[in-house]
Amino acid sequence: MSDHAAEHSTGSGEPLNLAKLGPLGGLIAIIGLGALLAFVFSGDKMAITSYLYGWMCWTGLSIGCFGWTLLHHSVRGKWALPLLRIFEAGGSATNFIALLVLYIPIWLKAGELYPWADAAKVAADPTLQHRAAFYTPTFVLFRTAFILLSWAFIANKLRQSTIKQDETKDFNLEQGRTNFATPMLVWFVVTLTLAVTDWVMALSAHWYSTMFGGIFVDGTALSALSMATFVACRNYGKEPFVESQFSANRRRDIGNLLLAFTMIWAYFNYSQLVIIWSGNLPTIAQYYVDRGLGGYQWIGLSTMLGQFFVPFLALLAPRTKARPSMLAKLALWIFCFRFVDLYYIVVAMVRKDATPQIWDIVALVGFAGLWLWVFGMNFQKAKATPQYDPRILEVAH
Amino acid sequence: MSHGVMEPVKNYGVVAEFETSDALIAAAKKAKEAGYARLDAYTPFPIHGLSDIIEFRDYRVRWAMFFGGVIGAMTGITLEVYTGGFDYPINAGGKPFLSWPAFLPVMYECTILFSALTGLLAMITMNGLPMPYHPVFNVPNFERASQDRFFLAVESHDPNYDEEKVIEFFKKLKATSVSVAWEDQ
Repeated sequence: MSDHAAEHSTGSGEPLNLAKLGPLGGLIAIIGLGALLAFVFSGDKMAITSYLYGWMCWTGLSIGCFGWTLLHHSVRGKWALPLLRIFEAGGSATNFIALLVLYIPIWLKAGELYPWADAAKVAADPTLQHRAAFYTPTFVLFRTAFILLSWAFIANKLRQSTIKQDETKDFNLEQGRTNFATPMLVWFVVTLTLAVTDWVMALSAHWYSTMFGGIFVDGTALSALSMATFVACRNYGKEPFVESQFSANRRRDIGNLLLAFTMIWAYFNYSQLVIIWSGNLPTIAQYYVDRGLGGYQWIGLSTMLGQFFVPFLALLAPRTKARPSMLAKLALWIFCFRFVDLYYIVVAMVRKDATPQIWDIVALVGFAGLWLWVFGMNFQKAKATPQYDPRILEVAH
Repeated sequence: MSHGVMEPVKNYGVVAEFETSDALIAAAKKAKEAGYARLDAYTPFPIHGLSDIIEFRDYRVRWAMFFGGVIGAMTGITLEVYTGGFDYPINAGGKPFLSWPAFLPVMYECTILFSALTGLLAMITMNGLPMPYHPVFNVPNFERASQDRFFLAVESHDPNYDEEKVIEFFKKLKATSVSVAWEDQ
């Protein structure tokens, strides 16, 4: 503990102000997404794929934040307390409603993305005809809206409860959140599986994978945890991320969770690969055939190294977890590789050529701006850490 | 070892008993602040952060496990490449003889097996186990270190060791009991 004394901050530094990123994010979002949508509706097929990719990446981050909030309220571990407000702000009702509004262009342009929305493909394909009752445009939009709004409702209820408890210190609220969040965690995993089936898996007419829900539960959790770790460690020394609230033990817990989710990432992705590879059936093996060609093989290899081996070996070492500056760098690394991994999963469903397009960058940056804007607004509305929980003041335990 | 006739037997150290892990952690911090460097703690279960407080820094088991794992992975892949690729190749579903996706589970299991066994053996040998006698067993009530009590020792090779002062120090910390772990002659 004492060997990194130089990096230990015990004093209460200046308070962290994440809201200042909001207006800039809003400006970027309006310019970026505005330009992108103009091209999408002028019929640019590259642009709509990029839009879907950007939307999936930042929706995933909100979903991950929401999942961690649910998990925290279910198990009530003290490790998530310093990060809870980040998760709440990142996976809030506002996020899900904004994402629902931004889903509408994808839904309108479904004919350019999804085989079920292409009348010519459906006419030639008995499988798609069989699924036609499930994949009607109205039902698809209904499902997405219902799922996103249900998450918005749950997120709002939990958020209101923690804010209320900050004021009233009523312990019953905490028990109430646990009773509510635990079944909702089940609902979350079931609906997330259904949602990614509609959003991503349906991009392919025949391919399916039973690991897909798991891959997204883990991937979104990894995105959100690495983002929150980066924010907290990067701002180490500023309130509330000072040693008394964000201690070495907390950082080690969070580093170990990053390690665990990195390992689950490899486990799920490898399981999917080995099942499909062993079975070797044409309809499902096509997924890896597509990803073995056109440059995707190098992206796949880079995710094996960058999303697994580098963070895995780095997080095995206790000193990585002990130093906020190193943990921040590694969390940023993991966070960036989430975009590479999602490119490999999502974009390869549509494009045969792996070369990234300028619109992919515009989409990522545009949605990032929007996300920061909403995040900043939400973060500002409550204290940066929950005040109700006496454990937040348990120094270095 | 035989001691000279007149040479007094050196005690192992002073051991204090605490009822809670929090009391133990608080005492360990105070002892550190008071300048005692050779501390050891005995608890019924692992306590997070305790080894940092008493500055227990022995990473040999960790590294042994890491290299055990690396050797395990190499053993697994070597076994598979040799048997499946060269010694007795079997055509399984028309796949290439050297197919890395099929090799990973065995590599993974060997990594864990070798790493766990190396860790266990390294822990046993480096701790000098089995050890039928240790001076700390002379501390009254010490069997409860594996049940519900928490013990903190200041060992006699500490540069600041002064038996009377350490006993006083522990008494001030409101230890349940304080005793000297004497060496049997």
